[in-house]
Amino acid sequence: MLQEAAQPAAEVATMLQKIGAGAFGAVVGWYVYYINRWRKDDVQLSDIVTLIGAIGGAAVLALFPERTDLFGAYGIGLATGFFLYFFILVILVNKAPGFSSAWFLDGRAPKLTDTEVTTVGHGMERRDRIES
Amino acid sequence: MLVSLGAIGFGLVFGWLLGLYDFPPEKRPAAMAALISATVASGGVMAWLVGVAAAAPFPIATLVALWVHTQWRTELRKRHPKSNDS
Repeated sequence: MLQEAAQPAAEVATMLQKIGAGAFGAVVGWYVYYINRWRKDDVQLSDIVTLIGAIGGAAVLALFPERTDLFGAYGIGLATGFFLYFFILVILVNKAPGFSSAWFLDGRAPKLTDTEVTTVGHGMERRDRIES
Repeated sequence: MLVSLGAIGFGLVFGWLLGLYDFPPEKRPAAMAALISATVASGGVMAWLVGVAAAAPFPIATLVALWVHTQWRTELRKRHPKSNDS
Protein backbone atom coordinates (compact mmCIF):
# COMPACT_ATOMS: atom_id res chain seq x y z
CA MET A 1 0.00 0.00 0.00
CA LEU A 2 2.85 2.35 0.83
CA GLN A 3 4.44 1.40 -2.47
CA GLU A 4 1.23 2.29 -4.30
CA ALA A 5 1.22 5.67 -2.61
CA ALA A 6 4.84 6.23 -3.55
CA GLN A 7 4.24 5.56 -7.24
CA PRO A 8 3.94 8.56 -9.51
CA ALA A 9 0.42 9.10 -10.83
CA ALA A 10 1.50 8.13 -14.35
CA GLU A 11 2.61 4.67 -13.11
CA VAL A 12 -0.62 3.75 -11.31
CA ALA A 13 -2.04 1.02 -13.49
CA THR A 14 -5.69 0.67 -14.42
CA MET A 15 -7.51 -2.61 -13.84
CA LEU A 16 -7.44 -3.32 -17.58
CA GLN A 17 -3.65 -2.89 -17.65
CA LYS A 18 -3.28 -5.26 -14.70
CA ILE A 19 -5.48 -7.85 -16.39
CA GLY A 20 -3.42 -7.46 -19.55
CA ALA A 21 -0.15 -7.91 -17.66
CA GLY A 22 -1.56 -10.98 -15.91
CA ALA A 23 -2.76 -12.46 -19.19
CA PHE A 24 0.63 -11.82 -20.79
CA GLY A 25 2.30 -13.54 -17.83
CA ALA A 26 -0.08 -16.48 -18.16
CA VAL A 27 0.90 -16.98 -21.81
CA VAL A 28 4.60 -16.80 -20.91
CA GLY A 29 4.11 -19.21 -17.98
CA TRP A 30 2.21 -21.66 -20.18
CA TYR A 31 5.00 -21.51 -22.74
CA VAL A 32 7.70 -21.94 -20.09
CA TYR A 33 6.14 -25.25 -19.06
CA TYR A 34 5.72 -26.20 -22.72
CA ILE A 35 9.45 -25.58 -23.41
CA ASN A 36 10.39 -27.47 -20.26
CA ARG A 37 8.19 -30.41 -21.27
CA TRP A 38 9.65 -30.77 -24.77
CA ARG A 39 13.32 -30.28 -23.89
CA LYS A 40 15.57 -32.93 -25.48
CA ASP A 41 18.20 -33.47 -22.77
CA ASP A 42 18.29 -33.68 -19.00
CA VAL A 43 17.77 -30.35 -17.31
CA GLN A 44 20.93 -28.38 -16.48
CA LEU A 45 21.18 -25.59 -13.93
CA SER A 46 22.28 -23.23 -16.70
CA ASP A 47 18.95 -23.93 -18.50
CA ILE A 48 17.03 -22.82 -15.44
CA VAL A 49 19.11 -19.66 -15.05
CA THR A 50 18.58 -18.85 -18.75
CA LEU A 51 14.85 -19.44 -18.38
CA ILE A 52 14.65 -17.21 -15.33
CA GLY A 53 16.50 -14.52 -17.26
CA ALA A 54 13.97 -14.82 -20.06
CA ILE A 55 10.88 -14.61 -17.86
CA GLY A 56 12.19 -11.81 -15.64
CA GLY A 57 14.63 -10.16 -18.01
CA ALA A 58 15.07 -6.77 -19.58
CA ALA A 59 12.27 -7.14 -22.13
CA VAL A 60 9.73 -7.85 -19.41
CA LEU A 61 11.03 -5.02 -17.23
CA ALA A 62 10.68 -2.65 -20.18
CA LEU A 63 7.00 -3.59 -20.40
CA PHE A 64 6.30 -3.81 -16.68
CA PRO A 65 8.56 -1.56 -14.59
CA GLU A 66 9.82 -2.99 -11.32
CA ARG A 67 7.98 -2.17 -8.09
CA THR A 68 4.71 -1.58 -9.93
CA ASP A 69 1.44 -3.46 -9.77
CA LEU A 70 1.93 -4.43 -13.41
CA PHE A 71 5.05 -6.40 -12.51
CA GLY A 72 3.11 -8.09 -9.70
CA ALA A 73 0.23 -8.95 -12.03
CA TYR A 74 2.75 -10.40 -14.50
CA GLY A 75 4.19 -12.64 -11.76
CA ILE A 76 0.74 -13.87 -10.73
CA GLY A 77 -0.16 -14.59 -14.36
CA LEU A 78 3.15 -16.37 -14.89
CA ALA A 79 2.48 -18.81 -12.07
CA THR A 80 -1.15 -19.25 -13.16
CA GLY A 81 -0.23 -20.17 -16.74
CA PHE A 82 2.65 -22.40 -15.65
CA PHE A 83 0.66 -24.45 -13.14
CA LEU A 84 -2.49 -24.49 -15.28
CA TYR A 85 -0.49 -26.29 -17.97
CA PHE A 86 0.80 -28.71 -15.34
CA PHE A 87 -2.60 -29.48 -13.84
CA ILE A 88 -4.21 -29.99 -17.26
CA LEU A 89 -1.31 -32.29 -18.16
CA VAL A 90 -1.82 -34.31 -14.96
CA ILE A 91 -5.52 -34.72 -15.74
CA LEU A 92 -4.92 -35.70 -19.37
CA VAL A 93 -2.14 -38.18 -18.52
CA ASN A 94 -4.25 -39.86 -15.85
CA LYS A 95 -7.29 -40.07 -18.15
CA ALA A 96 -5.42 -41.33 -21.24
CA PRO A 97 -5.79 -45.11 -21.67
CA GLY A 98 -2.58 -46.99 -20.90
CA PHE A 99 -0.79 -44.00 -19.44
CA SER A 100 0.08 -43.55 -15.76
CA SER A 101 1.82 -40.89 -13.74
CA ALA A 102 5.09 -42.75 -14.46
CA TRP A 103 5.06 -40.76 -17.70
CA PHE A 104 6.21 -37.77 -15.65
CA LEU A 105 9.32 -39.65 -14.52
CA ASP A 106 10.68 -41.10 -17.75
CA GLY A 107 7.99 -40.77 -20.39
CA ARG A 108 6.67 -44.32 -19.99
CA ALA A 109 3.83 -44.93 -22.44
CA PRO A 110 1.88 -47.91 -23.78
CA LYS A 111 3.14 -49.80 -26.83
CA LEU A 112 1.68 -48.86 -30.20
CA THR A 113 -0.88 -51.22 -31.68
CA ASP A 114 -0.63 -52.61 -35.22
CA THR A 115 -2.70 -49.77 -36.65
CA GLU A 116 -0.78 -46.95 -34.93
CA VAL A 117 2.39 -45.11 -35.91
CA THR A 118 4.50 -42.59 -34.06
CA THR A 119 5.07 -39.13 -35.45
CA VAL A 120 7.92 -38.39 -33.03
CA GLY A 121 6.43 -35.16 -31.85
CA HIS A 122 5.41 -33.89 -35.30
CA GLY A 123 1.71 -34.23 -34.63
CA MET A 124 0.72 -31.36 -36.93
CA GLU A 125 2.91 -32.23 -39.91
CA ARG A 126 1.47 -33.76 -43.08
CA ARG A 127 1.44 -37.53 -43.08
CA ASP A 128 3.34 -37.87 -46.39
CA ARG A 129 6.19 -35.71 -45.02
CA ILE A 130 6.41 -37.84 -41.89
CA GLU A 131 6.54 -41.10 -43.85
CA SER A 132 9.10 -39.85 -46.38
CA MET B 1 0.06 -6.36 -2.04
CA LEU B 2 -0.06 -7.22 -5.74
CA VAL B 3 3.73 -6.93 -5.94
CA SER B 4 4.14 -9.43 -3.09
CA LEU B 5 1.70 -11.83 -4.75
CA GLY B 6 3.72 -11.48 -7.93
CA ALA B 7 6.89 -12.34 -5.99
CA ILE B 8 5.11 -15.45 -4.70
CA GLY B 9 4.21 -16.36 -8.29
CA PHE B 10 7.80 -15.95 -9.44
CA GLY B 11 8.98 -17.99 -6.44
CA LEU B 12 6.60 -20.86 -7.12
CA VAL B 13 7.66 -21.14 -10.76
CA PHE B 14 11.35 -20.81 -9.88
CA GLY B 15 11.13 -23.40 -7.10
CA TRP B 16 9.28 -25.85 -9.33
CA LEU B 17 11.93 -25.47 -12.05
CA LEU B 18 14.69 -26.03 -9.49
CA GLY B 19 12.94 -29.28 -8.53
CA LEU B 20 13.58 -30.58 -12.05
CA TYR B 21 17.33 -30.48 -11.44
CA ASP B 22 18.11 -34.14 -10.88
CA PHE B 23 21.59 -35.02 -9.73
CA PRO B 24 23.39 -38.22 -8.74
CA PRO B 25 24.27 -38.68 -5.04
CA GLU B 26 28.02 -38.30 -5.65
CA LYS B 27 27.45 -34.80 -7.03
CA ARG B 28 25.25 -33.73 -4.14
CA PRO B 29 27.60 -31.17 -2.49
CA ALA B 30 28.30 -29.36 -5.76
CA ALA B 31 24.65 -29.51 -6.79
CA MET B 32 23.44 -28.19 -3.44
CA ALA B 33 25.94 -25.33 -3.63
CA ALA B 34 24.73 -24.51 -7.14
CA LEU B 35 21.07 -24.64 -6.09
CA ILE B 36 21.66 -22.44 -3.04
CA SER B 37 23.68 -19.97 -5.11
CA ALA B 38 20.94 -19.81 -7.74
CA THR B 39 18.29 -19.24 -5.06
CA VAL B 40 20.30 -16.53 -3.27
CA ALA B 41 21.10 -14.81 -6.58
CA SER B 42 17.48 -14.88 -7.76
CA GLY B 43 16.32 -13.70 -4.33
CA GLY B 44 18.74 -10.78 -4.60
CA VAL B 45 17.48 -9.89 -8.06
CA MET B 46 13.89 -10.10 -6.84
CA ALA B 47 14.69 -7.83 -3.85
CA TRP B 48 16.28 -5.35 -6.26
CA LEU B 49 13.24 -5.49 -8.53
CA VAL B 50 10.41 -5.22 -6.02
CA GLY B 51 12.08 -4.15 -2.75
CA VAL B 52 13.17 -6.23 0.22
CA ALA B 53 9.80 -6.23 1.99
CA ALA B 54 7.79 -7.25 -1.07
CA ALA B 55 10.39 -9.86 -2.05
CA ALA B 56 10.31 -11.58 1.35
CA PRO B 57 7.70 -14.17 0.22
CA PHE B 58 9.87 -15.12 -2.78
CA PRO B 59 12.33 -17.46 -1.04
CA ILE B 60 9.52 -18.99 1.02
CA ALA B 61 7.47 -19.69 -2.12
CA THR B 62 10.61 -21.05 -3.81
CA LEU B 63 11.29 -23.47 -0.96
CA VAL B 64 7.63 -24.56 -0.78
CA ALA B 65 7.48 -25.28 -4.52
CA LEU B 66 10.85 -27.07 -4.43
CA TRP B 67 9.74 -29.22 -1.49
CA VAL B 68 6.35 -30.07 -3.02
CA HIS B 69 7.95 -30.95 -6.36
CA THR B 70 10.62 -33.10 -4.72
CA GLN B 71 8.05 -34.92 -2.59
CA TRP B 72 5.83 -35.51 -5.62
CA ARG B 73 8.69 -36.98 -7.67
CA THR B 74 9.82 -39.12 -4.75
CA GLU B 75 6.29 -40.48 -4.37
CA LEU B 76 6.09 -41.20 -8.10
CA ARG B 77 9.40 -43.10 -7.96
CA LYS B 78 8.07 -45.20 -5.08
CA ARG B 79 4.86 -45.99 -6.95
CA HIS B 80 6.47 -46.63 -10.32
CA PRO B 81 9.94 -48.12 -9.82
CA LYS B 82 11.89 -48.91 -12.98
CA SER B 83 12.00 -52.61 -13.83
CA ASN B 84 15.82 -52.57 -13.69
CA ASP B 85 15.91 -50.78 -10.32
CA SER B 86 17.19 -52.95 -7.51
